[in-house]
Amino acid sequence: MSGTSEVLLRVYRYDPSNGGKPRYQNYRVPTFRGMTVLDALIYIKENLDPTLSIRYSCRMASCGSCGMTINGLPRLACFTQISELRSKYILVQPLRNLPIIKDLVADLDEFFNKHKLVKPYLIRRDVEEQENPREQYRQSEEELERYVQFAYCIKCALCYSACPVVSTDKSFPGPQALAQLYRYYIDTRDEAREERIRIVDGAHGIWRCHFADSCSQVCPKGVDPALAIQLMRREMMFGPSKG
Amino acid sequence: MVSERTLMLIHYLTGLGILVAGAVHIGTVFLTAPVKENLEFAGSPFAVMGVYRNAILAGSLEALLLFVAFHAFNGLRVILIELYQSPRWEHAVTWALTVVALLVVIYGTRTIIIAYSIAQGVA
Amino acid sequence: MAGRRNGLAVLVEALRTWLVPYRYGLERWSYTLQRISGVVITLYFVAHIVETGYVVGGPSVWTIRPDAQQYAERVWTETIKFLSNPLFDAGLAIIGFFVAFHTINGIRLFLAHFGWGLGRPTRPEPMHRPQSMSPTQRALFWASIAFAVFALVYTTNAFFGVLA
Ligand code: HEM
Ligand code: HEM
Ligand code: SF4
Ligand code: FES
Repeated sequence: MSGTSEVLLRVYRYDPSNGGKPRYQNYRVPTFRGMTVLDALIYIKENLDPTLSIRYSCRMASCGSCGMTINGLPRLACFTQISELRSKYILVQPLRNLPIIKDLVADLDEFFNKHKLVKPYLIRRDVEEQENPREQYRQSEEELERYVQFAYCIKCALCYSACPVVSTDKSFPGPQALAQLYRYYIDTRDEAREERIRIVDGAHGIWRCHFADSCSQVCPKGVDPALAIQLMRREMMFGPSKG
Repeated sequence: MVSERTLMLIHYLTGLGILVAGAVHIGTVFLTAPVKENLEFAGSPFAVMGVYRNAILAGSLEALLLFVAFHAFNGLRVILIELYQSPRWEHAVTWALTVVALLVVIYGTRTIIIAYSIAQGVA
Repeated sequence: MAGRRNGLAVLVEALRTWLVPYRYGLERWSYTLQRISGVVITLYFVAHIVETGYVVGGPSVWTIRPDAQQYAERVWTETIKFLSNPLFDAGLAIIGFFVAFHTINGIRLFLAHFGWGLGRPTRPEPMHRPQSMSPTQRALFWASIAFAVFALVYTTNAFFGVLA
């Protein structure tokens, strides 16, 4: 194996059918140029330990299924190169703030339910139009710019896992859902502003955000949920902006 | 019940209020003379009796008291309902903190009213 | 990470996320410091109201007694004598630090929560820096740290005369 270097992956293992006690297991993995943490985990699964559970699909930071905690921060395994971690030792754990199904696979149900809670789709008052849309909706460049950044979200839950409020307040919608709320709220084609405000106006709603900004720090797509949330709070404090 | 939105709006506004009333307070205690002199009972316009004798300064202390009491205990409420969620817990937290805040306001207001009255007789 | 959440586990998790801001960037530190300073000032505030209560003679005084002045002066002077020792003075200097930080950072949060001084939404490029961490926000955060340090030095000097 001369010429190749190795990393040590310390991987969180948890199997509910097997007594359910979490433990850590070490694996030595040979690296290559451009290797990602996901590549390393796939190497382990194929060559060292087929019992390791991971979840992934696209391998190119688009599907959002490979989120996990890598060296302490929530990241996409497929979007994190071994070399960028600058360490021969990599600690891999599942996402925080979520229940664990097995090993590195976090249960995203709670996260998706909160996403659904904010009605992440355009709403028209006209029921017929809502069910069978016929009209064309034109938007100016400027109207698009208001929300397009937030529409980049891939629902990977990294922000949800980084949020210090979510960690203790499970009724808080979390950065992803609140950012999507604003994304539809500010869309000129949407007609449900009051309804959207009502969804997050309570004691465990949008007011619980303290702008710790960790969500925006970890988002792999540059969505900046914290920005969306503060802009939404402005709308709620001072009434809807024009448009 | 007061809505969460209103509570947080008051939280931010009391923050700004504390900014003003607090600046007056810190100004009178620290900037008018050495602190040790201002902490004396009487003898100068900014010793404690001098401050309480001045209706504007005494009034601004009362305002500071009210602003801080709301802001601080609402802040604690926020921390505690983020810590744990259940209707019973939130109810208990809200009421307990309201009672403590009221006690602090009543006690502090007593100090201001009586000190104001005593100060009228102090040179 | 797995398993049910009991009371103690919730508390440990809370303290860990609130008090260990490390790895998430500047804003997370501001969140932690704002929370710690808020709680510390609140404790000081309650103690301070009790303490200034001795200006009129303490908790037993609810009416103006004939000897009110002399009584109040005696009690207050004793209180001040009791409180003027290096331990309390050092405590006040620390309070000064937290008050200064909480104030300026509070202004920053006030602006941010109302959507002022943040960047505008953009189309994110790869390796995009969050707009929410705008230069204005960063400057205000560092201003709060600078002001807090200034307050610490100022109050220390006011009580101990170290710069004299
Ligand atoms: C000087 C002016 C002040 C301003 C501008 C200010 C502003 C703020 C702001 C913006 C927050 C954050 C709320 C959030 O993140 O949603 C906050 C929290 C808080 N403040 Fe103040 N504040 C001030 C003074 C005080 C004082 C004097 C006290 C205590 C006596 C205090 C106690 C608290 C507490 C306990 C919290 C809750 C902390 C948390 O939620 O993490 N503040 N303040
Ligand atoms: C180290 C700094 C401080 C010192 C030395 C100090 C000193 C004093 C003194 C001597 C008084 C009596 C009135 C006067 O002489 O002005 C007073 C009253 C008061 N202070 Fe402070 N103070 C300090 C900080 C604070 C802070 C940070 C707050 C807010 C959280 C505060 C809130 C009040 C209030 C509300 C009163 C009126 C109390 C009453 O009469 O019931 N003070 N303070
Ligand atoms: S906002 Fe960013 S971090 Fe959060 S779910 Fe969407 S893509 Fe992931
Ligand atoms: S595998 Fe699709 S985002 Fe990583």
